[in-house]
Amino acid sequence: MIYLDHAASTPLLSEACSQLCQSLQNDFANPSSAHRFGSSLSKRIDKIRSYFLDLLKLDQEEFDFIFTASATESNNMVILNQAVGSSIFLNQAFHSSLKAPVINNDYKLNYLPRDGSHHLDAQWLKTCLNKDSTGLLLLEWVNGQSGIIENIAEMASLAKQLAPHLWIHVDAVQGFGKIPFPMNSLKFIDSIAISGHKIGGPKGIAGLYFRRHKKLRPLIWGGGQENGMRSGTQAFPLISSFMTAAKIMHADREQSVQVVSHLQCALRSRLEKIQSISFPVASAQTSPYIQMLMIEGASSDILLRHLEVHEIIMSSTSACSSKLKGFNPVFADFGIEEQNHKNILRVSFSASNTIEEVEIFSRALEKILCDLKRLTRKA
Amino acid sequence: MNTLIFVSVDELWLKGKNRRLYVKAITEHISKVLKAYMPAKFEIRNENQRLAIFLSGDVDETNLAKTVEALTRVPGIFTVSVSHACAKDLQVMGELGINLFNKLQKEGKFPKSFKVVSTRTDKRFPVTTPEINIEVGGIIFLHFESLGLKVDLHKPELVLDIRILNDSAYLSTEVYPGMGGLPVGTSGHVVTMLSGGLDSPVASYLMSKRGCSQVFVFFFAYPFVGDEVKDKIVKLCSQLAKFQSRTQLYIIPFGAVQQQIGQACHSEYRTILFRAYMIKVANMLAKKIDAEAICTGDSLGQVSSQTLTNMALVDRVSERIVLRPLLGHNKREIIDQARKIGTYETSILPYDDACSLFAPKKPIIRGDLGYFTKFIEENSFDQLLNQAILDAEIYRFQVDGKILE
Repeated sequence: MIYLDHAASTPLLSEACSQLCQSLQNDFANPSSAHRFGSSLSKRIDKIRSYFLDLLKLDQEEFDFIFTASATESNNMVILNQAVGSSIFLNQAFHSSLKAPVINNDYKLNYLPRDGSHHLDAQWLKTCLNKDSTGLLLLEWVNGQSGIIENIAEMASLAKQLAPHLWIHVDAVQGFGKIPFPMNSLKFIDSIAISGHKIGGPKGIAGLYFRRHKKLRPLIWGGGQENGMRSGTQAFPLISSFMTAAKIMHADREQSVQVVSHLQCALRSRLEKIQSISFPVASAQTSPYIQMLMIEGASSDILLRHLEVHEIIMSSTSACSSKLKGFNPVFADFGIEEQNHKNILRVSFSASNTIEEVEIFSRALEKILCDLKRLTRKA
Repeated sequence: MNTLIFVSVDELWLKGKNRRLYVKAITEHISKVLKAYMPAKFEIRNENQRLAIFLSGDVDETNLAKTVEALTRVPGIFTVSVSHACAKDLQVMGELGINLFNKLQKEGKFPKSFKVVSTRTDKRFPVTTPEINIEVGGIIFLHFESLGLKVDLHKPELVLDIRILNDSAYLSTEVYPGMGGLPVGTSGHVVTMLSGGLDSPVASYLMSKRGCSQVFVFFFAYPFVGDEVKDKIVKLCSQLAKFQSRTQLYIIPFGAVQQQIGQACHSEYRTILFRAYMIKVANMLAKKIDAEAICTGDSLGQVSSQTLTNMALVDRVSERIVLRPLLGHNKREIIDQARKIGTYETSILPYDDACSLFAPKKPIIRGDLGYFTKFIEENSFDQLLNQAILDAEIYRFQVDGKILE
């Protein structure tokens, strides 16, 4: 099997897997229990918490970090903390865990436009923010559909300059552990969401960084775990395996980026030669981990199933919006005409992919396109 | 209160010596329905040309209602009625009658007028049927007179049916029409081709109604279509299974076959040749499972593959009669029927189908016999088709539509 859907979820790193298995066996106590067995796990969780804060060189006086069950939960926690009627700024192409909580609750929605190069238009902020503005600015560091890397430092600094009371939240899921975080953005950002299963950690564990002085109320109440911010028995094995994955991803990051960039280059130069294939956001700065393709005249559903027959697994869109048919606001936001919304594929790599796999995929895609063309010719 | 369900069988009077076969088939079907819907123990007896289903113990009203509804979907059943037992005593019968009318009142179904019709299987019962009618009717009438209840012997809104059997008297106020026709299996065994559209489920229903047991076949054009289409077919079969006594669905992987045909033929012949090979596979399956006919949802002239010429062409590859019960139906009639049998909502689920993907710009309306025959002769695809049947996914369904694991 050739797996090219790492942006949806990536396999457990073997070290993270061993850590998880041995911890599930051995660390079964409840970290909230009074006995030493439990309290030692609680102490270890606090150490892991410090590790995650140190990763972004965050001052523990200023920032806190809590474990959640998913980045969706982390995003929801920040969004649902906004007062009813607040202004929330976001973009149509964002992940549904940023859009849905805004759309389905009583907030004032403001869609951020994109500029000519498909990046979020920072200048637009000037037209709608002033020193009295409150509410929430949502940013996606790396867009999961297109791989576009946003200049979050520029966006956040400008927004904070214009509106000092604005809450700025960054969904860092598709960039965390993969590309270097823009540290110069940190002094403007109030919260950051990350996820375990996108970096080779287990599913069911994620995190949220947030400024301590910001008043954040928990979404989930109970025994007061995670400093009262997220009740529920702490999943020590998941937490420890998450850290193992994060450590490896960060240690290997530069090397992995090289590998993956090489794969992306090879893919582009190989597919460029096929007439019906184009790269819709080529003018933007994108992550080497994600490559969006547009294939004229072939429906992505049919292509994906044909690729599946060749044991090549990938997606057309984010797993959370893959049930959408027809018009897709994410694609529209990148300036893709509605008639082509069914023609989009997304290749997403990990450093475990190889150049041979890219070649096999490219060859398979070429053959499928050729066969389909012959088979569905109308006259 | 003991409960009894009376079932009358349709078209039994048309049958002579084979009557026993019909009764046996329908009794077996009814037993399956009862086992699926009723936890209570039951016994089916032949009472005076009707089937009497004796339910013992406490009968749950909801289960009873579901069972009655399911029985109205059993081919060959003309009517279903629920009767309640009491002692063979006119006063007791009158009191039970009052109870039943009270129940109707609670349900908002109290009639303006009624009459009593009784039959006496137990001839030792000393009261004649006109006397029973008058006595029991009188008790009920006097009780409800103040509510405006009238006796109407010609056009009553409600008929209270009383049957004096050997063990007890049975009273019933409601009769439900069944689907009629012939018991499933008495007309033979058929392979029914399902496409996922509106027509084929209705065609299947009509053949069930005329007593055909059916095995369903679906040609699954993966990877041209996705698994959601398969799920849709399974859902349709689960509804159609309610009109059958046992149901099987063969999902034949057909994408590779379509790929071969599509590459080898003129594009305007694509659709008709796909159909021809589907009919061929249906015949191969029919041979394997010992079925006598193929059934399709064709309606004359609806699309290009359903012209007289093209149906005749396709029939050339069939070794068995191809039944097309919808030939004379208009689309609106088919839609109405699909709504009635509960397949409409599933059929209109908007999944991509392979037909539209492969549809040529100008499909052939009058296929050329020479080209068609030559293509079929030169491309038997026998091995490919046999393998497709071997690779089929098979689903089995209970009479209540549940998938059997």
